[in-house]
Amino acid sequence: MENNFNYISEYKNLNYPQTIECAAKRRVKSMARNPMFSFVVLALILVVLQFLNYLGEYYQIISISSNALTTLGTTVIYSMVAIGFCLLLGYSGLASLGTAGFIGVGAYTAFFCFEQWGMPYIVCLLMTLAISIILGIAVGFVSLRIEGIYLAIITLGLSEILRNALQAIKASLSIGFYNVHLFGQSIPKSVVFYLIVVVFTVLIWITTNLINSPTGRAMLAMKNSTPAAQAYGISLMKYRLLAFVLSTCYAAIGGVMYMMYFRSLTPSESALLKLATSLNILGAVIIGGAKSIWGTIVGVFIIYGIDKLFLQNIKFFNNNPDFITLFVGVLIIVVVMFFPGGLSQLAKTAVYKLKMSRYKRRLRKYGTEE
Amino acid sequence: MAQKNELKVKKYARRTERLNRCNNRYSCYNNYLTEHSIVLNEKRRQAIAQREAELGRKYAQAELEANDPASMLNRLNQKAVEDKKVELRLKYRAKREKTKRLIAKEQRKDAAYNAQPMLDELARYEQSLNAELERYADERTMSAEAKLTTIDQPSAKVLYEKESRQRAEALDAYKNKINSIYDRKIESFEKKTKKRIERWSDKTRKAQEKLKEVVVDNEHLVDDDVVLSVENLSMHFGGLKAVSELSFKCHKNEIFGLIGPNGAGKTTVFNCITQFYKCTMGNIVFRTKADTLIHLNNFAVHDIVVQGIARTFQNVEVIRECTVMENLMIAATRQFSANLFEQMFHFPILKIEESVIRNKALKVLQFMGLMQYKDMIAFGLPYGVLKKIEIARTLMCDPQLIIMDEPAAGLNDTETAELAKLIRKIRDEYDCAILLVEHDMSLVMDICDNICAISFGRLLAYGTPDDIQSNKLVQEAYLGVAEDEYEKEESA
Repeated sequence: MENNFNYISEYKNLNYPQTIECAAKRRVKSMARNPMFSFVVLALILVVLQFLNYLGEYYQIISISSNALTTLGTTVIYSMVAIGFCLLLGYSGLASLGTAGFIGVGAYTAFFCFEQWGMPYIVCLLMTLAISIILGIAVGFVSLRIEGIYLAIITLGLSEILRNALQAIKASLSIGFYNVHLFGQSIPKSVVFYLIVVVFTVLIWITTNLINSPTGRAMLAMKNSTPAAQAYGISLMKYRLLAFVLSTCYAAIGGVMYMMYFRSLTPSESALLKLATSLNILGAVIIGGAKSIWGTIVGVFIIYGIDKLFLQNIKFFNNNPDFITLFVGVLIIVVVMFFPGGLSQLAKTAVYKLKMSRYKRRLRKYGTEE
Repeated sequence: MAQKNELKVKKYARRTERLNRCNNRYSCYNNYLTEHSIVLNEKRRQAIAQREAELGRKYAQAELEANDPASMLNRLNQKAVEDKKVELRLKYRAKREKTKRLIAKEQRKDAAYNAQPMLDELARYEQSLNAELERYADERTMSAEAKLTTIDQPSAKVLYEKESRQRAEALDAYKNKINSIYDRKIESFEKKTKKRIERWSDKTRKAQEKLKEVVVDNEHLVDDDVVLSVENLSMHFGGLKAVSELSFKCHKNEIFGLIGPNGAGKTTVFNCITQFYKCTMGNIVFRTKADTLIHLNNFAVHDIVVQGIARTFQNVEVIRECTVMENLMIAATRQFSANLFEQMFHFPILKIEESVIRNKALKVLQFMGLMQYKDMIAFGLPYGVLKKIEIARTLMCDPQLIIMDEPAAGLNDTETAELAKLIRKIRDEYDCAILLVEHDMSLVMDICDNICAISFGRLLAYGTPDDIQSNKLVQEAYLGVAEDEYEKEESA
């Protein structure tokens, strides 16, 4: 008969049950709850892709096509611009169609700084910021008296004026290969990509901070109800100027990055400084959801990235490139009709429904909430 | 002279802004000092209590069993018997399934097959299993009784005592560690915060001195207990005289009612006081919390709230995209002293201020009974709740004077009665004057100390509710003139 119990081992078993708390797991969880976590992961993925491309070029290990990377770079650059626009439209409720002009200002400043005056990157960035702050204040003053569609028309006019003026200054820009300097060294396109990703992450960080601070809330208050905002000490002038300055700065930084990445621009040929860009950014922000950064990034990807990365591989779209525009247009119509809050609203609803279904299943299985 | 005065006013506004900023940061650090040390102490207590509870759960049974080996044997026996029972049940189920299959197979061959013998055998098998289980349990108890005599109980006790001593030591060490960590934390935090408080109190003092240099001359001196004095206020929109030559005074801790028929210009008066309209003529003198008199006409709309006047709106102007909590924090925007740069890069000061103001908002929510709506988006909340949120927002600004524009509009009778109670409670708890426009006469007559009745922008009567009720002019304005009287007047 098996009566072989051991008093001491039983005793020890009782005293040391396996309840080891995993501190590392908790730390990772709290880190993932940080709103910046997902953006940092995105940036890391982009950096890794560029690195793989570099490996593929020099060692033939793995090949990521340069065209795909260029598309990603374009998407990231336009995302910067769109995030600034998101602050303007989604948070302050000011519709502007002047984005293209502001990008142009950034691009031209970059050209003059790098090519004509041979300045380093940091000085160029500071100069762009200074110019765009002045420009933003000027446009912001216009917005104090005008709202809604009229503001959009006026900014559109301003953008056209800017484009023509810039075109008159110089008809086509190109920066020499060795003229882009960072820390005293000239950098190739692949390093510029890393730089773009870094600047992008910093801009997103600043934006999330602003959104979760009194400034972001004040902007929302201004969008929803001007009398309430004024009665609680929010100066319309200050915050409208701020919104315009921020969006101008973001657009100008996007322009600088565009110039550094592509090195050449002919305003009369490229669509960068034309109304199409402003409208595309507007469309991207509306598809994604004007109050969500992730939504904005996805929206920009749909407009600028999806055709070159995926749709061109499909035979039908490859034969009829006009249908790509048609596809994106139909997508915009569908999103605006069925999800006025954009893709971010769709995602939120999906997550909510998933949670609710899980909750209901549990309720069915275990009875009451306990 | 006028230009000089204007310059002075601008300087005054700038310096009040500066003082306000210093004051905000100073009070923020002060609040943080008390609040955060409470939070830290609570955290320490929780950490120790958690560890103690964890260990306690583990050792409670061990202690019991070390003193009484029979209970442990009993437990182990029970467990073994349960295991055996499960095992035997499994055996029985296998046999039963097999028998069923066999019966089905036979019945397929021959419909008149007698299954009784097989079922009998199954029942016999179950009985035998039950008997086996009983025998097993008996054996366990017998052997346990035998074992009890052989157990070295003293040595077990010694072992347990040794363990428990170790445990107590470990717990003490843990406590010491936690205590030292938190002591260090609290000490460094207090040292840092006190240094900051000193610095900012210095700055506040300096700002106050500078402000005293520029005193706006007060030609319109008013009595000590007057909070708001409106003198000869006129507001003309082109040719339309919305308000003309209106004057009244609102005293400290008073609920003041402004009544009048539709279109009498009540809301215009409010908008003039809060500078949404710049009045055509007249003076509006206000006594701030710091007990200085200011002319409100010299201030911009968004600076009024800093001086201590908070208002609600006739048609609720709640920020519908935000949660209720965020709505309250929007009302406290001017109490943040962190500048744009500090907000962009989330400096520690911003976090401190956010926590302080969040706590303040929580207190206000508790006071208003809105705790359950705390994290809900304001869009789609019931009308009564939105009205309450509006009042809660005014309380966030530490007001000296609250201006309510038709707080009872759209509420039913019970809600209106609640509102009357609430307004009195606010007056008493927050120590402020309340100025309200209302059409609900029962509410106005119930709560107001003084009432001012106006019609077509002109003052009709001013006095206590009883005076107003018996005033003939007011009756005429509300009810119209009786026909015979009207004819008499006309003939005269």
